[in-house]
Amino acid sequence: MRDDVKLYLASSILLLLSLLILIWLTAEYEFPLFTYAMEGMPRLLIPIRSFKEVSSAVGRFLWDWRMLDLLSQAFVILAAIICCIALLKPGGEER
Amino acid sequence: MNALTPYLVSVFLLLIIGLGCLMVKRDMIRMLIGLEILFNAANLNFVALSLGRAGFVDPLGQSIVMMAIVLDGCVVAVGLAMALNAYKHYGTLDVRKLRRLRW
Amino acid sequence: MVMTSPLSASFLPLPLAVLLLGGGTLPLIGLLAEKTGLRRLRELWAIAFSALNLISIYLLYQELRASPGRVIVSSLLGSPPLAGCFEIDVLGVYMAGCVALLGFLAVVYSYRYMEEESRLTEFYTLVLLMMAGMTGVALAGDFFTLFVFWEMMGVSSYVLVAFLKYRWGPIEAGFKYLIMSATGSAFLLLSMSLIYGMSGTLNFAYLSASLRGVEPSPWLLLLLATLIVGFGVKSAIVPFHTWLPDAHPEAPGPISALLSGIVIETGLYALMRVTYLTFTPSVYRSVFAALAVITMTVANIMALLQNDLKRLLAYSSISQIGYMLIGLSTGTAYGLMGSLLHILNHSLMKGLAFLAAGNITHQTGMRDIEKLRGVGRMMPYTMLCLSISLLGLGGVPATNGFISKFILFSSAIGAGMPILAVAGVLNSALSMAYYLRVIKNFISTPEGEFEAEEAPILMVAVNILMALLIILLGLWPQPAIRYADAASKMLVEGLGRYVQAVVGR
Repeated sequence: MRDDVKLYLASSILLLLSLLILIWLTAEYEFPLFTYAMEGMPRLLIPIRSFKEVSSAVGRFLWDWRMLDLLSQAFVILAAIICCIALLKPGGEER
Repeated sequence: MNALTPYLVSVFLLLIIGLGCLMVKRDMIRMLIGLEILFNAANLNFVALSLGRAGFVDPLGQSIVMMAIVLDGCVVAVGLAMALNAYKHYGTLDVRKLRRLRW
Repeated sequence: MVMTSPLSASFLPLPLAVLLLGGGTLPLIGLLAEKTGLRRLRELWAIAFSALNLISIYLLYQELRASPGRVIVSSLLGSPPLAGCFEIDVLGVYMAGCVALLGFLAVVYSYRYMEEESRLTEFYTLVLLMMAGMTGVALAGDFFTLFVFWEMMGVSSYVLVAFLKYRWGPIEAGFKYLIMSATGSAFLLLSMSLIYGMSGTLNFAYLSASLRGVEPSPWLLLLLATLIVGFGVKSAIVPFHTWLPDAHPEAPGPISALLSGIVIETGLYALMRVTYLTFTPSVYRSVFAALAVITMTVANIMALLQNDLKRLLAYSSISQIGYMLIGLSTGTAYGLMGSLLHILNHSLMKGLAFLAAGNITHQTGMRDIEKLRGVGRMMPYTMLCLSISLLGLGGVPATNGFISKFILFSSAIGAGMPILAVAGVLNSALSMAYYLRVIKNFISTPEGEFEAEEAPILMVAVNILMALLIILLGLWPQPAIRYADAASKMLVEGLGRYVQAVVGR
């Protein structure tokens, strides 16, 4: 059990330290939200006035502008399917 | 302390919880859950930062989240297939018990 | 100059379209092959598509050479910065060319090596999709497009490592690789969200125009840290390298060659691209220099202790990544040229080393260096090729490894960091120690414990071809140097042209 306890202790100290550093970072320095955005860069913003329509507007944005990534994603899903078939197909005996 | 700080603190908290889960747990399925928590931290960051200007929503951030969820799901599906394989062949899901690959 | 051209502006860049088409139709061809009994159809289909890929990379390169510094931007529906796009310049074509060359050779090799395995349809589909992912990463112009192809490359490689699933070793190695690499992807996604929050866009050109030259604040340093973690896990930089010595030996022979030869270099290329676009050299020079020294030293020391041939080669891969990081940390075009040249040379040399080791494991079934004493006398051609590749990795003159290492070390001196050059030379000498140990063990007289004959003709032919290429590039390096020079200029001096191609539309 000594090994386990040592691992728990070491990892919890490390993680607590990094958590404190990150919280200090968030509190001290304000996040530069869109401060470095270029002037005149085309951006599309959707007003939240009509709360129900935001989701369909985001969906329309996805299909209008991000078609390339959606089609490439289809191939990633194909790769994942072939991966699962390769792992779960009964084949290859002990050599 | 503007409106963004609670979101950022929760993102970092999720990050630390996910990393802790990966470091400490030794069951394959639990490690995959820790991986999911890590991905969710990044997705939450995207959603929180897309509410940049008051009263408006930037759709770019949210569409990226929708696509990232799919990609992350593929990775976890493959991991689960590996865990299934390990269980069928060797009857255990403990990563440390059969650790034969040393140095 | 920006022009859209018929070769690449239609839907996707041509090499990517070829590979995705091949990978998408291979499952059907596999089904057809099993129904009709045409046994070799799958392999021939895969070889044909990888050859087509090589030809289309050549055509794309010819098109780019028509006017120097030309960048082609192609996107599907709508225009950047809101849409995903491919931005094709000489650097992207250089990386895609390395992928195509090593991929073609590995597929031809696995025609003979993998013929007794089951699930061959899935194997060749995943190899083609992995190559498509790497080509997509090389040619991407938008950060999220890079991420999608990064995941494609990653998901295929997780299962290719765990392919021989009837032994425990590959499964454990594959699972460990999956967990660590997916953690890296999560950090990469986090860094993308930080970039999006700070500049409102994910396009590389707009990103460079917005964030370059900003003085480093703590959030930017956090961004650099998450980028290094995100790309560094896949490209085996030292604190995050622990998946590699388990994953590369347990993968089947040609997959080890592909992984060591080009997948980790693709991670390095992506790191190179994003940090050169986003930060000025003063921000990242010291970090990369420190990482380079740590990576080289730790990997070389660990390699001295290994007894398993493929594990030794895996640790050697990590140290070669350390050499490439030297070139990255200089921040000049000359250093970057050394890194890119070393990427090409390392893919050839390490690919040859792993394929020759694949010959040995195919014939004898063993990987232990002590037990394989004398195998070189029974398999002379394989031993010749293995010696050429190991001497090239150590940096002996007349091989291409010498030229790229020379450029790397002299660029480190020229950029004002002589410590890196000294560390590099010492590590080169250290690495020759374990390479020579392997060669000496294999050439000595056999103890008579096993018998082995020469590997099948096709496997030996691929090895000899790669050895000839290594020596050719070592004695006549001018074309490769010119190519790498044009590629490296795109990131340092041609940056303005790269940015103008999208912003100035």
